Amino acid sequence: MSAAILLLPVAMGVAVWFLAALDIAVGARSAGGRAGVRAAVVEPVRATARLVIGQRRTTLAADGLLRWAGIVSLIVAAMLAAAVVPLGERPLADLSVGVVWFNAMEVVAWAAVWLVGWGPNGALSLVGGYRFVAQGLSYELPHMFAIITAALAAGSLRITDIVDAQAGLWFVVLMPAAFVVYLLSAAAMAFWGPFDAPVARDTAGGAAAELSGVDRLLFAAGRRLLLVAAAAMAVPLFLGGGHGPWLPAWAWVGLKTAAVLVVLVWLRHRFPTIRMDRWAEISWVVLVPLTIVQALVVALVVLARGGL
Amino acid sequence: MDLTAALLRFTARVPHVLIVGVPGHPDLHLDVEEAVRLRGWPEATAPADTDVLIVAGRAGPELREVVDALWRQIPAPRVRVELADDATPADLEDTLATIPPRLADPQQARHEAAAAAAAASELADDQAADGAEHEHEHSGHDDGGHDQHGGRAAGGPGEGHDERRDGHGEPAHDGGLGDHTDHDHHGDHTGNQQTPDNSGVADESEHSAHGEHNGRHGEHHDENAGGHGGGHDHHHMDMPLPGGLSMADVADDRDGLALDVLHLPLGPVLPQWPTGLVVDVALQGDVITAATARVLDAGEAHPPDRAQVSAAVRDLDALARILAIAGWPGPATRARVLRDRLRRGEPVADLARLVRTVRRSKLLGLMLRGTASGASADVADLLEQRLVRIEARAAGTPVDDPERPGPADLGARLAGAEFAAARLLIAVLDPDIDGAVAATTTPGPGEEQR
Repeated sequence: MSAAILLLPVAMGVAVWFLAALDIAVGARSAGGRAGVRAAVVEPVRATARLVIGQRRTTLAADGLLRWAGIVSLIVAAMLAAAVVPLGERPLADLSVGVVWFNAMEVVAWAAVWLVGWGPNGALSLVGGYRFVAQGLSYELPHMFAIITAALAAGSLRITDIVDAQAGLWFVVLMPAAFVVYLLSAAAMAFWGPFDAPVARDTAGGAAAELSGVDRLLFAAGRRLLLVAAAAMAVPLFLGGGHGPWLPAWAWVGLKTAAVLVVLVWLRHRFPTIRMDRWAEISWVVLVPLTIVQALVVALVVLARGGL
Repeated sequence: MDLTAALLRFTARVPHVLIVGVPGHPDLHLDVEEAVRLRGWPEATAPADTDVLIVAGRAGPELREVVDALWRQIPAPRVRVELADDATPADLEDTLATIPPRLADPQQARHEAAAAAAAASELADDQAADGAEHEHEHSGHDDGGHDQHGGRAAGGPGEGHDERRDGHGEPAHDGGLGDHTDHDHHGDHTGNQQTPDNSGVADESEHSAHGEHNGRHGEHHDENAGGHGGGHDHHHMDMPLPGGLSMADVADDRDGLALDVLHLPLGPVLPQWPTGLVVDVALQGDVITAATARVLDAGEAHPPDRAQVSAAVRDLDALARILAIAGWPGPATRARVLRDRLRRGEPVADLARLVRTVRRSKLLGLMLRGTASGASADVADLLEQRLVRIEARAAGTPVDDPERPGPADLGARLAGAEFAAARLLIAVLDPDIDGAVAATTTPGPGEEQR
C-alpha cells in the first residue's frame, strides 16, 4: 500500500514523459519531417527545465488564489482519478464506487480549467476557460453512458470487479461503440487534440495564455496527467485490465496504457481541432443514442447470460 | 558554474520566439519565420510563453508602443531583437546566432528578471493611477486612441492622474493578449482619489464604490455613473473606442437576451494574425456583434519595400495560417515549408499531396463550413478557391490573382461571427495590410526615435 502511494506518482511521471516524447515524434512526422529518438527524449526535459527557471508573472487585477486553486486541483484530480486504476492486480484505492469516483475526479477538471482561465483576468484566457465548460457539456453525456456500460456488463461499479468480469472476453469486443466513445472523451476531458480548443493557438493558448514559469509547467503537467489517467482507465474498463498471457499484470497494464496513449497522440495529429459549436450536435444527436443502444445491447447480453 | 547557469545554457538552445511583423515588410517577416523554423525554435503563442521577441523591421510609433508593452509582459530570461528594414538573410542568421548565448547569460537573466518585475510593479502603479493608460499594457492593443480618449475624458489622461501613485500592492503586471482590465475610470479622478498612500486594496474597493469598477470582465454597469462627470458617456456607446478601451455595456444578444458586451481590440500580435492589423470588436459571449479594423501606423511614411511577396507565396502562407488556426499543426508546417521553398524558387513536389490531405479531411470541412455571416462565401469556399489557385499554378496554368480585401472590408464580414470563426475568416481573407500601408502616401509626423 505504502509502496503503491510512491509508485503511482512515479509511474504517472514516466507516462507523461513517454507521452511528451511520443507527441514530439508523431508531431514531427505529421509535419513532414522526422524527429530522432534523442530529440524526442531530450526535448520534454528541456521544455520542463525552461519552465522551471522561467520567471513567474502575474497579470493586473489577477486572482492568484483562484488560478492556483485551478492549477493544483487539475493535478490533484488527475492523481485521484488514477488512484482507482489497478496498476497490477489492485488499485491504490479499491473503492466500491470506483467508476463514479473516476467520473467525479474528471469533472473536477472542468472547474480547474475554468478557474485557470478566469484567474488571470484576461479575455482570451477566459475564452479558453469557457470553451472547456462547453466541451464538458458536450462530451460528458456519451462518456457517462460509455463507462456505465462497462459497469453494467460487470454488474459492479468496483474497478477490480470489472477487470475480473473480463477474464474471458475483453469488453472492447462486447461494446466497441462504448470504447470508441470513451477514447474520444478521454481526449476531450484532458483537452487534448483534437479537442484542444480550450488551449488552442487561435486564442493565443486559451486558458494557459497568461501562465509562465512554474504555473505553466504545472498546468501542462496536470493536463497530461489527466490524459494518462484517462488512458490508464481505458485498460480496466475495456481492455481486460491486467489479463494477458506470459507477462505479469502490471506489465500488461503498462503496455495497454501505452498503446492507448499512442492512439490518442495519433488522433491529435491526425485531425484538426474540433470546436464545440459543431461537435455538441454530433455528440448529442449521434453519440448519445449510440451509447444508449450500446448499453441496451449489453444489458440484453447480461440478461441472456442470466446475470443481474 | 551553478545549476541555474547550466539549465539556462541547456534551455537557451531552443527558445520560444514571438515574431512581430512590421506592416510594409512582408518579405522580412517571412524570412524571419523561415529562419526560426529551420533552427527548430517554436513560435510562442503569447508573451507569457516567449523567450525571444523579434521585431521584423523598424516599427512605427504605434507599433513601437505595442512592442514596448509586449516586452513588459515577457518573463525573464528574455531577449529582444529589432531588425533593420533591410536586414538580409545573412544578417538575420548572424543575429539569431547571438540569441542563445545572450539567453544563457545568468547575469543578464537576473537583470531581465529584475527589470520585468520592476516594470510590473510600475505598471501596476500606473494602472491604478491612471486608468487611461491601461490600453498600453495590452499586447496587441493599439495605442492610437490615446488622444481620442483624452479628448473625451474630462481633464484627459495625464492631468491630475500622474501625480497619484498608489501604494504598492502585489506586484502585478498586466495581462496578455487581449487582456483587459477594468480600470477605465476615465477622468474621474477627482480630489478624493489623489491621496498618495492608497494601498492597492483600498484603491480597488474605492473603485468599486464608484460603481463602475464592477469586477473582472469590464462589466461596467453604469447605474452609478452619473456622479462622475463627462468622462462617462462612453459607457453608453455601442461602438468600441479606437483606443481599445475595455468597457462593457449590456445589450440584447442574438437570441434577444440581455448580455454583457465587451469591447476588445484583437491584434496586432496574435498567432497567425495579419501583420499590423487591429480589429476592435464588441463581443457578447464569444459572438462578435460589431467589428472595425484598422492598420497600425497606416498614416506613417514608409520606406519603399525591398521585395513584394508573390501571390503564389501568399496563397500558401494563407493556407498555412488557416491550418494552424484550425488546430492542425502538421499540415500547417508542411504548408510553410512549401511556402518557403517556393520563395526560394525550389521545386514544390509535395504540393499536390498537401492539397489532397486538406481536401480529404471531412472534419476540417465540417469545422470550416457555414462560418460566414450572411450570404457571403464561407471559410470552406474561400479555402477551396485558394486550393484551386495553388493547384493551377503547380500545373503551370496562368491564374488571375483576385483582389485582396482591404482592412476596411473586414468589419462587416466579421459581425455576427463567433470568435473562432472570425479568426478563420481573417486568415482565409488575408486582408491586404501592406497595400493599405503603401496606399497612404501622406507623410506622417516623423517616426519616434528610441
